[in-house]
Amino acid sequence: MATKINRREEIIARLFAEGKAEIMDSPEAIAQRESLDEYMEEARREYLRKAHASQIEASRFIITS
Amino acid sequence: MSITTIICTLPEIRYQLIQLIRDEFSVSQQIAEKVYDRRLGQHFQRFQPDIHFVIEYPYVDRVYRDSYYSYFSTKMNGYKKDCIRLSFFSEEVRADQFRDETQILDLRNSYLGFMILRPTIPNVIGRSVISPSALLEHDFLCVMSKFQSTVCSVKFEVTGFPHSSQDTETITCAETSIWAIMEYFASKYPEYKPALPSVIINALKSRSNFRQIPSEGLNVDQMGYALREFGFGTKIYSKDKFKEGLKNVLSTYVESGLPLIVVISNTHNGGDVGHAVLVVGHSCTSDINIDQLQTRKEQDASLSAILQKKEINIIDNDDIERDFVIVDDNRPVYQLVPLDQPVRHYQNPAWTNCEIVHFLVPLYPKIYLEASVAKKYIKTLLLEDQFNIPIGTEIFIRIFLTSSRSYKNYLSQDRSFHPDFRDFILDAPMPKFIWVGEISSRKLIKQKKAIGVIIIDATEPKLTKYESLIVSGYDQYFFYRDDISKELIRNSLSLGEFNIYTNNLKGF
Repeated sequence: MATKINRREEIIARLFAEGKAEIMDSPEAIAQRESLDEYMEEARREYLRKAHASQIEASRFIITS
Repeated sequence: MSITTIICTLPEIRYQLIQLIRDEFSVSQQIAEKVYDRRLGQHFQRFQPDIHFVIEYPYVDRVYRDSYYSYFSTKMNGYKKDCIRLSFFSEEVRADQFRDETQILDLRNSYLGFMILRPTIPNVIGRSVISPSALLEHDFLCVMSKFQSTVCSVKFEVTGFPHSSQDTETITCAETSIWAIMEYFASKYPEYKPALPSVIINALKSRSNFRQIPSEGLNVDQMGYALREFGFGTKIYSKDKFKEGLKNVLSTYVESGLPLIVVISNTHNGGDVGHAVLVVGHSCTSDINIDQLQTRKEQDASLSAILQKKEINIIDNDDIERDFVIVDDNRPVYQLVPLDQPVRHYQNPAWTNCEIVHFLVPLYPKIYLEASVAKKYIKTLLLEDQFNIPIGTEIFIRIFLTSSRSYKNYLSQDRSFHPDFRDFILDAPMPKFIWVGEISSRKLIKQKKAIGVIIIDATEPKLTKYESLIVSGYDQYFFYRDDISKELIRNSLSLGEFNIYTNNLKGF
């Protein structure tokens, strides 16, 4: 007989049934997520600035030794 | 013409090679001696004393033949087209063993690699792959692959990293670095092919306004272009822009098991050196390394403010003051140097004050999330309130890139994880590559243990709404993003201690 296994779904269901799982949708959790999103957007923009500047600098550097 | 074989020991190698270089490459005794003493001797001085050599000649080497037909044969001076091949064994070798099938396995077990000598006097060292076990000092971790070769018509296999010296005409350090990167990846993954010198030159044709050979070197931009042409999603990092963070990011990629092309220079200090080497690994991590590890001030102002507010200290594996394994075409393979002194092994005063100024990462093209942003994200996630890390805690963090296949394979075999957490991760859909942050402490990491992990999607550069979070867990909780509601779910589960992942460099 065929056996169907999905341990992940079973674990999720069990943790919810036991009251050990919680959806993080409180105003505090949402505010924290928005703050993280904002910070990561800025981090990404800062990285892009550095990456572009690195590329420009690299185009001028000759390796000969 | 027939193939001649010489079998000899380490004390005999100087005499044998000087005779051979003189006779086979048609140079004077004096030049042959100089070639040995100035170029070859330094390689064999680092060998285990009981190494045995098998020398075969003439040998047709595919890399040198490519340079020969595309360049050396077009000169008036007669260049030889054959090479000499040296093979290394850890035990005594006899010619009859190669014809006795009962002894082949013993021979294969003692095989430690090969080195080609090409007739490009004085830069004679061509393609070579040497197992670290051949060296007196081999207590380090580095990326390696398996390479096939033959000795006396019998097939052998060696595990190591490819190395060659530059011939200064068809390949300088820049081309040699690209060649070695391609040899490594081609031997490991079917999607890459080796790049012979003429292939590298051809790939750069459209990016060169001037004559390409004899090579006058490449600019860093061209190196990035060549790697991209050969199938990589190349990234570049410059010291000028990443400042002190450069070494940290470089270390993250090394911990991820990626060989990097590192550009070294002293032009900013008044010199004229511009050199490329490969960084392929690092020394093993000792308890002293961990004890001496200091908390570095976080460069990012926002992250630094959160750390201060929460009074949490993060000590980063990538800040450990350790030696890194360098493959330099001017020096014997696997040199150990600190990143602050990348040419410590050079005696020439022209090389003083050299520093790492750029490095190139040959990334798999579908890895869209690079190291510096991935690290910031993992550290920030860790500092969120839901992780509930007590004030005053010191955390050791180790962040690396790996394939989900390798990570899941390690996890499936590792019984130190909480079984539910392990099954939860194993059944999670993942992209081909993931960023992993392992959370530990100064005490636990000495036992190669962690108490938390954050896994994020390396194909997702957008880091908003927890879209790239696959799973995270620390101490009493683990988190994931629900597929339907798209909200973060917190689960109470005591994770306990578990083994760290060491598959990238086969150690820590």
